[in-house]
Parts: sequence; C-alpha cells; structure tokens
Amino acid sequence: MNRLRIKILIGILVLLIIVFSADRIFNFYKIASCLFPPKETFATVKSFSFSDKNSLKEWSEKILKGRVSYTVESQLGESYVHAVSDNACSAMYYQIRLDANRHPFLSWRWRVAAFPNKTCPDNLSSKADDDYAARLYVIFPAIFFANSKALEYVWANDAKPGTVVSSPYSPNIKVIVVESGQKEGWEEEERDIYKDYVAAFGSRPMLAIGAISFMCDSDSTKSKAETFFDDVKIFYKK
Amino acid sequence: MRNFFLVRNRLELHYLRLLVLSLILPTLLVGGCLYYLIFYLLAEQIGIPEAVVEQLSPVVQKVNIFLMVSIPILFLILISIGIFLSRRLAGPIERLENELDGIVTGNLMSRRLKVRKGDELKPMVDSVNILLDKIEKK
Repeated sequence: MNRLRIKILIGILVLLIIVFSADRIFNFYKIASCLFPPKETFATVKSFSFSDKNSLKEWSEKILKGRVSYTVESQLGESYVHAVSDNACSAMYYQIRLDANRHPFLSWRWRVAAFPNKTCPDNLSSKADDDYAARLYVIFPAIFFANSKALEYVWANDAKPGTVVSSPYSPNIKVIVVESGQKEGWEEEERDIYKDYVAAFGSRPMLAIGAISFMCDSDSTKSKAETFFDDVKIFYKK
Repeated sequence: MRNFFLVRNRLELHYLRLLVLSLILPTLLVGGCLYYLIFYLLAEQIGIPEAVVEQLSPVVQKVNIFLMVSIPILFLILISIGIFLSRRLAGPIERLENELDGIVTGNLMSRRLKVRKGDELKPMVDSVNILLDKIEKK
C-alpha cells in the first residue's frame, strides 16, 4: 500500500515535470488562447491622450530616488505630459494585462527638451550613466521577479537608433534605442512588441505583458532632464 | 527499562513517516508560497525594472543564505517533534502488545495489564482486564 502511494506521488511529480516541460515547448497558453480567444481578460485597446488635468490619475507613480515632476499641460490646443527630472528618478506606471503573442503594438509621441549630462553619451551599459531623458517600458512580470522581463524604449543622448543592448542591471531588461540626440518637435513611434521581444530576447514571449511605464530620470548623472510624452496607446492591429 | 533508539519498531516508523510528512509538506508549501508572494508583491510595488533588480537581488541573497541555514535546523526540529509524537502514539500500543503476548505465550491468566497514568488506552486496557477476569473465573 505504501509503495503504491509512493508510486502515485512519483507519478504526479513526473506528470508535473512533463506538463511543465511541454508547456515550455508548445506554449499551452497560446494554444488555449487560439481555441478559446479571450474576450474580456485582455484589453484590446488602451489609449492615453492626456487631454485633461486628471489624466495621470489612472497611472501610479513609482519612486526610486526623488520625484520627477509629471504634469499634464496644454498649449495651442495640444495637451501632453511634461516631465522634469532634477537629480531624480520616478516613473509613471500603468498595469495592463496583454497577450504579447497576439502582436500588441505600442505607440506614443515624445519630445526631449533637455538630456541628462552623461560622461559617455553613447554608452548604454554603464550604471553610472544609466539615465535617459525619456524611456517607455513594457514589463512582463514573472512570479519570481528575477525571471521578469522588460523592453525599454529609450531616447538616448548619442547612441545609434536601432541599437539593442542588455541593461547594465539585468540581461532580462533589453534597452532598445528608438531615438537619439536633439531633435526639433515631436517624434511619433509605433512598435510591434512581439517583434521587438523576439529580436531582443531571441525567443517568443512566455510571459504576458503586465504593465507599461514611462519615465524621465537623471539621478545617476545627478543632472537635469526634461521631456514631453503624449498619445501613449497600446493596441492590436486588425 | 526504556531503550533510546530513535525508531524502535515498524508502527513507530509508520507514525513517524506520517507525522514528518504532515509537518514538513505544509511547512514547505506555505513557506514557498510566502517566499514567492512577498517578492512578487515587492517587485510590483517597486515597479521600475532596474530598481526591482537593484533593490531586491541583495535581499534575495540574504534571505537565501538565511534559508540555507535555517531549513536544516527547522527540519531537525520537525523530525525531533515527529520522533517524540510517534513515540507517544506508538509506545502504549507497543507496550500493550508486549504484555498481551506475555499473557498469551506464558498462559498467565492471573496477570493483568497495566497502564501509565494518563494513558489514552486506559479504557481499552480496563476492558481487556475485565475480560481476563471473566476468563479466569471460568
């Protein structure tokens, strides 16, 4: 009888290992999503035009060092988020549940008024210079934080657009340079998160998107940075 | 005279196995869930991916070192509790079995079973003694 119980226990363990391994290979979640397409679990579109003063109330502020001033401002009929960092680092964070395998897109507009004062402007792998006037995160949280992944779209001081490197903090955070250097006016961006993920990590996403975030920081370089964000939108293309 | 082997017979070993499993499995399950839940919530609270890595990694290292030291100690304590409890459960049964064996093999119908003070088996032992009384009278 005892042997039978031990055999049952071993059987359950082996079954769990097989299911877990098979899930890593075949991605049951994706198969289940195809068979039973989610209706309300996943947001299809979320758009932030920051058209009124309370637009940022939907977002939570994550403070690392000091507080970056994020305010909704209007000028010439156009409203946007104005971020000013003075030796500070804090981000605006929005939790959203999205299936990364369904090719969600992230689009936004941004404009940089002042860059952080980096010692080596094109060095993306230094913690001492890990400040960007503007960056947007797409975060893929895991049960254990060390397995979480993130895509980080940055407006760098002087790095080549299209460059993809690992963050100096973790290989699970990939920095993607979208814009670089001073530019006049607003720049519009649209990114296929799935494609960027595959290009950056070399494999398809195993985790769902759990949050998006935008940030302006200048704490590492103890300098100032100023940026404008607008029309942050996450959507699936038909 | 009592002997002081850790596990003295099959019944005690059986109880010990059940007790240790029922102590260790829930401990591991609850501990594991708490471990992951706490770090998940902390990571969600911190939010910024770089900050999560920078702030939580040293904490995880310290917690892991603490767990590496404390888990063997905890297991030793749980196994000791298991041995103590299994002895408390199996001891009276074993004693009763020995005494009954003595009565049956030695045909000592005048002998009566004895129990220790506060023994949970006392009602059963009393019944067996009454039975022995009746057998002896016949």
